[in-house]
Amino acid sequence: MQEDYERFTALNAEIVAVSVEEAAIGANVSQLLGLQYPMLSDVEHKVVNLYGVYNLLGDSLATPSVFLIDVEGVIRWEYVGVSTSDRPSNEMILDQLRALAGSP
Amino acid sequence: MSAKRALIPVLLILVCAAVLLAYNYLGMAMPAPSGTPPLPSTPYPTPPVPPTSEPATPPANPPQAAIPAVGDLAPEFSLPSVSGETVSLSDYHGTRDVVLLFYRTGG
Repeated sequence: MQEDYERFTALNAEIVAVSVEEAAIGANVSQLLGLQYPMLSDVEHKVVNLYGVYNLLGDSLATPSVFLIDVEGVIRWEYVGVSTSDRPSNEMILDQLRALAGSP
Repeated sequence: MSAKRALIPVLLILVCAAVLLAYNYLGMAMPAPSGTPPLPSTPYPTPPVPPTSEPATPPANPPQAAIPAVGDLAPEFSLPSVSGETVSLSDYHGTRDVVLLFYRTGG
C-alpha cells in the first residue's frame, strides 16, 4: 500500500487504515514502514462494529476489508475478505478509484 | 528388553494404586481424634438469593451492525491515530475520496 501511496493521492484519495490492535503495536509498525497515511486505533471496536467487519473470521480482529467512500461520504465500492489473506490488490482499488473519478 | 521397559510404567501405576488403597484402608480404620468436634451433618445454610428484577448487565460493546451496502452513507467515526491526532471520516468530506482499510498486523 505504502509504495503505491502517491498513486492514490494522485487520484485525490486518502488512505485511512483502521486496526483493533493496540496503538503501540500500530505505532511500531507505522515507524517500521514509515507510513504516510493515518493509521487509526480502534481498540474499543467502535468502528469495526459500525462497519460490521469485526471478528468475521473468528479471531477477534478486524476482517481485512476495504470501503471506498466518495467525497459526499457515500460508499461506492467495498471488499470484505473471506480469509485472513483475502484482500484486494492495490491495482484493484486504484481501478475502482479511476472508475469513480470517471463517473459523475 | 523393550517389553520389560514397557512394563515399568504399568508396574509403577500398580504400586501407586496399592499404596493409595492401603493408605485409605488405614485411614478409615483409625479412629478419629477425640478432641476434634464432629463435622456438622448439614451444610451451612446458603443465604437466599433475592430475585433479580433488572436484566443482566449489557455487553460492553453494542452488537455489531450489518456491513453497510454500496450506495449507503458511510457511518461517521472519529478515532485516534497512532501518531496522536484524531481523524474523522468527515475530515475528508467535500475534498477527497477515502480508501478505508481495515487491517491486521498479523497479515
